[in-house]
Order: sequence, then structure tokens, then C-alpha cells
Amino acid sequence: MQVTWSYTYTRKGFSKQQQSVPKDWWTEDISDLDIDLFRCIIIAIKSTYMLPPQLIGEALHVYACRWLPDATKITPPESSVSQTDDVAENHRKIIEIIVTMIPADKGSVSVGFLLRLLSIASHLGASTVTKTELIRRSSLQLEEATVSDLLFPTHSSSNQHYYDIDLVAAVLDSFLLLWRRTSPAPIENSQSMRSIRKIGKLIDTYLQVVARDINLPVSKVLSVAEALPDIARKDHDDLYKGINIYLKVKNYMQHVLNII
Amino acid sequence: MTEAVEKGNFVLKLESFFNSCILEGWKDSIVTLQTTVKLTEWSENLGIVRRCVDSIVEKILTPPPKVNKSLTEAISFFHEIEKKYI
Repeated sequence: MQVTWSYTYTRKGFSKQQQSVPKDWWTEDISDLDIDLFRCIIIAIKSTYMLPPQLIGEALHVYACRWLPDATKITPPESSVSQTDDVAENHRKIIEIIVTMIPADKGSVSVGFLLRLLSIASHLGASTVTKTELIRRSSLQLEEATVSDLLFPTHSSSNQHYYDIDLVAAVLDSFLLLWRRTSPAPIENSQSMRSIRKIGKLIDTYLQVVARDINLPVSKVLSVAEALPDIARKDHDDLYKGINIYLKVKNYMQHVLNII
Repeated sequence: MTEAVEKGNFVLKLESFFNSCILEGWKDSIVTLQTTVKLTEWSENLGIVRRCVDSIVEKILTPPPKVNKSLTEAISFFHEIEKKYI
């Protein structure tokens, strides 16, 4: 007797040789459901406490990938206008519901996913509650972030620059608020010290990348750089590197303009 | 018309079809649940939504090894029945 499994497992990175059934075998199939029905299923599963929060988080991730627009793709203002209100409204509803269902446990979803959701929420004009929650959740896991997690395009048509530095600033502020409250006087080699150093390194590396953005206002770069407390930096090499890149790009552009 | 008046009514047949063919299947439960979107009020009043959700949740929460085991158990059970009665 031959049994064929009805689930489809088509995502990347899944090895066909795997003998046992993957724990998240069900996530892709239930992603076909309408958001309200999907919510019913997830809430029912969560209330049993039988599955690890990471698995619930994975189900939310799969659903978001299936239904929400790609945050990394820049949408030119024209296309966002032509996009029907219904579609945008539906996307807003989906993202707001997904955010309410993220398990409270830290690490149930990755910081990269949270930041991508934040970028999409900002782009769609989701509710302040949703955005605030995403900023708070991202800031709790900011230490795990890589520079590429922080690099998302700005969606506002009034901004001429490419990267959305305002969102990064908001997440950093939220992180620092909590950090200052929990570690009033950090000692060398303590957990809070290691944590702030890590964030210092992350932000300075981030600034080196966004410094290449010619249209980025210097005031925004400065405010992010200055937001970090002194002890976040062991030395200022990375910051200087960032400033250097910024000046070189500006000089180069000035030079080009002069020639023209 | 109820079963008291005449046996083998459409409702009863539908009910058994729903229980044995729809709710037993994984993908069938999902497809049926998604279809309820078109007739929300009816489906909810008839308990179709709730029963589909329950069936899907139950399958998700069943640990995979147990599924395999119960499957083999079911097969051996059928073999026994076959031997005894057929």
C-alpha cells in the first residue's frame, strides 16, 4: 500500500531526501486560507500551548511571504497610486492581524522578519499600534540583526534618498530607551556592555553603507550616530570610516557637478 | 423531512459524506473551509466552519510519528476485519 502525502512542500532549502516529516509541514497549506480563517486556526493552536512559539512564528512568516508585498522592492510612487485601495486595505488588514498573533516569547520570529514587516507596515500606512508594536519587538531583538536586515528602501515619495533611516532611528531609540532603563551603570564585560557594543558596531557599519546615499540628509545620519551613548564605541574607527565615505561621495558629486 | 419519517434522507447522507470524506482529509478540510468564505453566515450557523477548524487543528497538533503508527494500526485492523468477515 502506498501512501501519498497531500501536503505540498515546495520552499527552498528543503531536502527531498529528508525521511521524517518536517515540523512545519502544515504551514504552507493553511496559508491558502483567508486571513480571518487563518487567524482562527492559529489562535486555536496557540491556546493549546502544544507547539513551540517558533513554529507558530514560522507559520506567520510563511503566510506573510505568501500574501504581503515584498519589502525589498522599491515601489515607485506611480504604481502605489494605481494600486487599488482594496488591495492596500487588504494588505493592511493582513499585516495588522499577523502582528497581533506573533507569540510573546522573544525569538519566536527573527528580527529580520520583524524589520521587514515594519518596513511593509510603514509603506502600507498601517495603524500606529501595529507600527509601534513592530518597533518594540524589533528593538528587543536588535542585537541579532545584521546590516542587511536594516537596509530597506524608503517608500515615501517626498524623500529623495533611498534607505529608510527613520525607521532604523525609531528602532534604535526604542532599544536605547529600554537599555538605559535596565542598565543605569554598565560595568566592563557585563552583558549590557556587550549588548550596547554590539549595537554600536551594527549602527556604525550601517552608517557606512547608507553614507553612500548621496541624497541622505546629513542631519539624519548625525542624529543616528549621536543617539548612541559614548560607551557604545570602543574606538571611533567605524564612525570615521562612515564619515569619510559620506564626504568622499559628496566631494565626488560636487566635482562632477563642477565639470558639468 | 427527518429520519423518523423516511430513512436515508439527503441530510443524513450529506452529513456522513462530510464526516468521512471531508473532515478526514487534510487538504479537503482546508479547501472546504476556504469555500465557506462565500457563504459565511450559512456555514457558521451549520457549524461547518467550526468543524473544519477543529479537524485542521487536530491534524496539526498530532505528532507525525503518531500519524504513521495509527496508519499502520489501521491497516492491520482492516486486515483483521478482512480475515474475519470477508
